[in-house]
Amino acid sequence: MAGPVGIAVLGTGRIGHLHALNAARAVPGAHLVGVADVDPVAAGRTSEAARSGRAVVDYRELLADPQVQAVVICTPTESHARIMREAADAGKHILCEKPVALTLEETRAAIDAVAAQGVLLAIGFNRRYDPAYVAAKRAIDAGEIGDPWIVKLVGRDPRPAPLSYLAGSGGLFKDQAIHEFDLACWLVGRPVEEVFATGSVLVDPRIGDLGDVDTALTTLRFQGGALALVDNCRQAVYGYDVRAEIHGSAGKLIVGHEARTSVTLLRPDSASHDHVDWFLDRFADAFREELIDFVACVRSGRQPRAGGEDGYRALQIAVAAGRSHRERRAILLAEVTSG
Amino acid sequence: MAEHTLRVAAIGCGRLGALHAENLALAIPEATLVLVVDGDPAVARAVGERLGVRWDSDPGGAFGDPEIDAVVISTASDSHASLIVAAASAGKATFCEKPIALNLADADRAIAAVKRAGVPLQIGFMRRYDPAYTEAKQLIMSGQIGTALTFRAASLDGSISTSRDFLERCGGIMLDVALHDFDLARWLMDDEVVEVYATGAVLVHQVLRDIGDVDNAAVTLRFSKGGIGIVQVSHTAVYGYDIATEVIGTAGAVRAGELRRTDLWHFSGDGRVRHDTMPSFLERFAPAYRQELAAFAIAVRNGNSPQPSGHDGRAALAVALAARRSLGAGHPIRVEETGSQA
Repeated sequence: MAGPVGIAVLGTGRIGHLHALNAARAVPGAHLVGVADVDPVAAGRTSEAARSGRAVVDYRELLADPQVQAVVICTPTESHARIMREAADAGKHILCEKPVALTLEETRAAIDAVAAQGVLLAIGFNRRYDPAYVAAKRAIDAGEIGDPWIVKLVGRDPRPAPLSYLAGSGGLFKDQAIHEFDLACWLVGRPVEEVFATGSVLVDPRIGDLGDVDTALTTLRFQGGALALVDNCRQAVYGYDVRAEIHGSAGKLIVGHEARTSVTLLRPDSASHDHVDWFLDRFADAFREELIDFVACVRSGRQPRAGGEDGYRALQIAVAAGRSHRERRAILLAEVTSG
Repeated sequence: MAEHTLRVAAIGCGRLGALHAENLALAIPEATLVLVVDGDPAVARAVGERLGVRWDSDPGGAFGDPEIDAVVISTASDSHASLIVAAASAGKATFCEKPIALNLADADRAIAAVKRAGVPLQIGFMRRYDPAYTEAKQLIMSGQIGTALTFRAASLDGSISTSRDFLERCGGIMLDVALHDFDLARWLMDDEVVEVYATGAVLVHQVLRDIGDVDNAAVTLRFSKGGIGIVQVSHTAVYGYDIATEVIGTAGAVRAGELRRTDLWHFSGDGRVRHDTMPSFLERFAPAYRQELAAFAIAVRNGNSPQPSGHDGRAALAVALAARRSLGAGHPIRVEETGSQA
């Protein structure tokens, strides 16, 4: 493909805003054609900050624009599947923020509809593009720790998102833990067979009133016996806490990243460093690399690192985890085809 | 929109110049890259075509072009001062890589030209825009370590340029490498270095003997308020790019240093725990290189004086020249003595 890839960003909340800035500034071979948001002020703010692209209220205007070859869908989750279909029908390649939809049925239908149009579909599992996780994956694939046996993943936010967001998020398993579920599958490289999860409401009783939990542990059993333990919480007062440990037959890997900078402050009787406070800070490189890779896929026709089936599988685990928590029993993943 | 964007020519497209050009083209919304210049037309053309901008092998075109607001100079160190003078005379806002010059007379000439023309000048001490050093400076300024007493810094890498031309024109290890630490010393200690004593050796890279340079050196510093410091520089740290800095004060200390590139830790069957190392300055200071140019563009646009200034460039150079002289003399040198040295 000659010339830059024309990109439209649909939805200019915090992640859409970041993707738009990256498309405009940080991705060689990309060109931000426009941004859409139902809130014209938000759309205008993003195109102004990006100094590129027009701002529209109706995303369909951008789907109809022949300059647009690919869209980045960052609208609220409930609209992802619908916009994906419309984008695919318009012949646009798609990078969709996770999750594709809140139900497996809707997710399957959307993935199939996109596949039928022959456009590329990438799912925004940004951790697969973080330099440290990429290095971990490479080390595992190279056999540097032998067979992976135990994967322990931590995903804790510094503070809960607003209740209005949580109410429509699909709950902790589909909204937050889904990142860890995808990461576990990617790192182990084998199918999950069984899921057991248990959750609590410890952070805020109003999250419980929504029928959700704010703290949960999920164990995954992979084909061949490898195990994963996923630890999620909606509040960590000390900062944004995302870590991994992979224990294998020939060694162990740890992905840390608590410190924002390398500065240590030494005081009488204590040494301290700062802590990463937010995902936009921790995963700034990953978001940039994700879009760079997506644009490279569009140019080459190569399949994205995380595609529709990965999105389906992660949601399937999330559905199983929710069911396991409610029914207080282990769930075989093969049983989970709806929900 | 256009009136807010600084139109920039990048002069010099070596490794760092090409990075600056790419950042100006892609990463800095306050700036627009319009022209790249390199003495080697093939290099200029390759970078220009890659970034989709005009290219030239002569900087004169940039100075004469009324469409161009500012220049970013990343040429060989011995051409910096003349290019600053030419840019200032043409009324261009100027960002120049360190060192500002190879001697104080040229630095003074450049600063005088900038002052005469009333144009902004920023020197490329990018460490001041690194998130870690920014944090360290804030901790010091907010009184967390009390009064700063001592300074300790190391700038170690594992190789020298394969270009003899570069080695001969870069000003040697004091002006090319330790200069960054001398600038950090002034900035973090909020003080001036008044005396230095340097010792050095050629331990690995024998080619440096021919041009009077060393591949390892240690420099002690004495500050005007009485504080002392030590700077170690090396081109024989084969394991990576190792930059570490510490300020100890009356109530505590700050340390900045990151040898690790990613936060991946590997525990292996041999009982050792490993992590990767920083390959080079390009990775270690990638965000700082973006930030310093963004800060330059914003300062110029808003009519503010960009930092670090030509004065900062000259002051660090004076320390580096004193250190280089001490290296040869074998005894301490007062920094003010270098003022008479052309």
